[in-house]
Amino acid sequence: MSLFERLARLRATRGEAAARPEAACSAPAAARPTPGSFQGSMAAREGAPGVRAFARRSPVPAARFGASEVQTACGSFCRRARPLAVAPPAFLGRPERILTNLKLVWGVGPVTEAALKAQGVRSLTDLQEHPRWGEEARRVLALISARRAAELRRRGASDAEILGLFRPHEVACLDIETTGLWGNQPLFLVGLLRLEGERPVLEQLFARHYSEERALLTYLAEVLAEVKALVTFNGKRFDLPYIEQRFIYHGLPQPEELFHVDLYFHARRLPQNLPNHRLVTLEEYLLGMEREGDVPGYLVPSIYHRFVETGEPELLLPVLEHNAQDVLSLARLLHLVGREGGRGCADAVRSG
Amino acid sequence: MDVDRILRSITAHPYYQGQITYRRHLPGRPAAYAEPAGPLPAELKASLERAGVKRLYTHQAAALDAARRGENIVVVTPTASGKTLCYNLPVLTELLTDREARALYIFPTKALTQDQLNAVQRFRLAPAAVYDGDTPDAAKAEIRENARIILTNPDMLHLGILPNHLKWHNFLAHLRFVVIDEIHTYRGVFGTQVAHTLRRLRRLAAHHGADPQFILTSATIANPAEHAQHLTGLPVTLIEGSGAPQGARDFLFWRVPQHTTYLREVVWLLEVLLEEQARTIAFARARQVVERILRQVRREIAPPLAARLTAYRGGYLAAERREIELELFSGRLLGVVATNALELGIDVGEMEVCLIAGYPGTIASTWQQAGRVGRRERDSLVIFIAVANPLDQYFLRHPEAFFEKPTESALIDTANPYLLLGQARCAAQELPLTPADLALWDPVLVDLLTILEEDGQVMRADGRWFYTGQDYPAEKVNLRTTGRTFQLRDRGEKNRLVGTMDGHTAFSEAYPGAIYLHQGETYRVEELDIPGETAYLRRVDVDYYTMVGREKSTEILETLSEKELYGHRFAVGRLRVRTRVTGYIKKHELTGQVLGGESLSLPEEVLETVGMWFCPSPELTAQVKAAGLDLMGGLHAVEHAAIALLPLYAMCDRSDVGGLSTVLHTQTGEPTVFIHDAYEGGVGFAEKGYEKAEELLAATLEAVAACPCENGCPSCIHSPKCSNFNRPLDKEAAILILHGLLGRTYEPAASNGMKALERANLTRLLGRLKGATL
Repeated sequence: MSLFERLARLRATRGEAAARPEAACSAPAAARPTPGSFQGSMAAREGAPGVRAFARRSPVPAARFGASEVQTACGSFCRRARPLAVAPPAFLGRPERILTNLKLVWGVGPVTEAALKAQGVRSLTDLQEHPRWGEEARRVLALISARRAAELRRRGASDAEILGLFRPHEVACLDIETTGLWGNQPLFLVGLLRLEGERPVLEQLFARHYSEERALLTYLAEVLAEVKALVTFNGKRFDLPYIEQRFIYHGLPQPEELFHVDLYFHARRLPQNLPNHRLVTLEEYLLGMEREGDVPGYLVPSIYHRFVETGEPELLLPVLEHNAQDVLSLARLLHLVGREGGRGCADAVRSG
Repeated sequence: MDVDRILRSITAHPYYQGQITYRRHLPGRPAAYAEPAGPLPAELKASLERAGVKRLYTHQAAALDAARRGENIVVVTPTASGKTLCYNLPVLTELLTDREARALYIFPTKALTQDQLNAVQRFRLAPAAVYDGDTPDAAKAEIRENARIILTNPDMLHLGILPNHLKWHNFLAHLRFVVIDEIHTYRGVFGTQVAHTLRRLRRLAAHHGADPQFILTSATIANPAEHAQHLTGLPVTLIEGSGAPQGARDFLFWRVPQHTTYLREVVWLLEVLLEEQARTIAFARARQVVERILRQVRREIAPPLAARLTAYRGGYLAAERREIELELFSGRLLGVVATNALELGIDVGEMEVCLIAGYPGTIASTWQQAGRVGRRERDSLVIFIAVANPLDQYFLRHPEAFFEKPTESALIDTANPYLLLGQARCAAQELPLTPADLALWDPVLVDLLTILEEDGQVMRADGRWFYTGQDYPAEKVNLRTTGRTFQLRDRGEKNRLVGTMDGHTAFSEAYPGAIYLHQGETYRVEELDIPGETAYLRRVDVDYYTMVGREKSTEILETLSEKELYGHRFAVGRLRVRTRVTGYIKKHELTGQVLGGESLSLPEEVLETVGMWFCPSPELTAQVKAAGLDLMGGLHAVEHAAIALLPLYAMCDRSDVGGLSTVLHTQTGEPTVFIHDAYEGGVGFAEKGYEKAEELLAATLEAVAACPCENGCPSCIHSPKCSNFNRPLDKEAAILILHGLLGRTYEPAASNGMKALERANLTRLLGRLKGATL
């Protein structure tokens, strides 16, 4: 059917509906917009007259997802937390590793380093007293104690060495689910894995409706304020800019920039001959896992839209599971960072 | 310059035989200055003085005052009247006052953008940058954050800026001014798309906390303020009347004698002008014409003189342009032959004579071309050479129409559902649409959103419409074309992409065997790959052109308005036009002789659009038959001529409008002439024709009746794009029908027996030819 015909049919249906006094779907009496009317109506954003009122369903109780409801100043959203069996990699909270990297001193290369080590200079602390490198070594030590990750990375520190400066509970693995590929469309789920005490806990923040995104983000900002380093898969290009754009969208202050390890870049440097570097491929080849009944990522947006429309928790549950799986794999793959030469994602670019 | 001396040389020339049919002296005027209501910031004043501007012209001061009062304005002034200060002054004033403020400048072409960047950078008051398809990715973030004036084009705004508005937060949040130059070029499909894009911009600016003011400029058209309001959706104050000084101009209208061509006329005029040392600019309508003029000049004019003339076409590199400019300034070059590309843009300095070889399509662009001479207070000469085309001939007979208030309107149709549908997807993707947003657009948007909802592209939630697609909808909307986009690839050059065209044009111009002219090159189409949306071409050198033959039918879907004029029914409504290409003929380039043809079978095309139609009353048709005239030929001729004259009222050209005539339409039950927009959903051309039906038909009658030809010619009832190869046509019947439609009486010439016989012969001949070749 052509567009003209579809429009004519809509007009006809509306004509019938308008004839019935109880009609709920009466549309505007098609007056041409007058120039300038827009600004005035911006004030009354939510309530333009004549457009069919949208009956908003009351949100699905959080309990239906095994979650609890979080109340914030800008509304509520859901939070689901559960312990996961995954051990944090050994290099977390181990600053010794970076201290033995003498190459962080400008001018010291592998040859000098080897020579120094042969002389018994084992660490930067030892190097402080050195007549030639001492001053520079003290500068590096200052950077280390201030945990200036970006500058250390510039000097050649590996992600594992820098992560060693953070205690396990300061590091979070993060993965988001969105309704599109461009930051214009809402995100609805943030999965985070952190240590609570000694226990790794998966925390999933999700919106049951587009309108809950704002509350979710304000809470996320609080969570991120407690975290010092983030681990993602392709977060440099996707998750982090997306989150940034959503904060802009809602006019919320941006969370502080965190040290970020993007495992995608580590995976790209693996010596193995992998068919591609998607997360599921890495799971299969490196972790020997196979996902069963997993929701394919490209279906996630439409499933979510459908969930918003129908309010059926059964639609969202597999997506929550998919996200949980992603975050868990992040944690399991974090050991990749420990490999030598893992230089992180300094060379990554964000498309503009 | 001594205009009279040059005129004497022309009229004393042996080739002169009274070609000048009209001369109008336009007196010059001195500059008119005015003080703005409030003082300019000191830095701006100093910068202006450095550039030699000590006082403002009246229109500049008026523009500044109105903009400072917070009004949106449209400035209408002639070429070279200091138009750019009308927007640069208010913008820079604001930028100097509010150190965070930003401005966005939108120009229709990249060349113009570059020129204006230089102009604004000369002030050295605010960082400005071009942001368009040529901007390197690495520079983009820096420009977004730091440039306070960004210059771009509508396409980039639509495709690159708005969909990424979250990256543009800082710019949009402080957007104080939007400047849109040359708005008369934003008409038809392109204009409508730009209007929607500007509404998207306003909505996003509001989301980021800004409410920018608009400053627009336009050439002189019938409806500048109305057009500006339609484009922006805002009330706009009109600023007109230039205070810039103007030299006296003499405007000549030139009739090309029979048995010669306008090109020969142009060449000998150029020779006379070069001999007179008159600095001359000649405008031709197409690139090939420019080349042909130049070739002819080299052949016929003595080398030392001929060498002082050069060509200027679009597509020159900046360095080549500058070289031509320099040589013109230095006087080493005396003249330049240019396409319309020169109309907007480059500075060729002070010229004295302007030749306009063929009506450029609109009065506005004619004046822009004429505005190339006689800047400041020097006398100058403009010669309009009419070619064989109904509009050219119309102006030749009605030169006064040229100097009165223009009748041509720039039209857009923001209610076109086809265009709005694509734009609604873009808008929803950028930001969920709220009920309040609906006020920005035509009411049909609600229904379009319902349709998108049915198709699963948007979802209504929380009272808002969310885009649920995962694509980049802006990529699917081309501002300048509609429907499918076909690629043109040159087989001779490893399938290099030479251009694109929209689907409807591809069927009627890029059918297999078609000779297709593109940027001065001649190609033959070897293959039209319809599913692949590609036409494969090869460069050829041939002496013929091709004309397409089509079968067409028109179905009325809905009548929107009806009226009666002198007992004849006129209507406007939605139509479904079915077209099928059936074949083509080859015609000799010079003689027009038919060299052969081919039949083709391409799939049928369906266009849903808006059209007007009229049905002559039974009395009138009876009268035509009683006079022994051909009703079909008469209706067909009326259709051609009316389409040719429609641009007098609606700024468009022949390819924007189509038509169909029939002696019996199944729905009207009467003989009917249809004139319809050539774009899905319509863009207002035919609607304007309906609104101005009486004026349009009066102009049409005049054009047909006053043409001295006997049986019709390209100056009256022939159409270069007729799908029936201009058959049948009956000029006498057309004149009778037009009289009748206008309630006038007309007695056809006593005997048409002879003509009828001729026609029968011709038809037979053509039939035989068709049988032989098709």
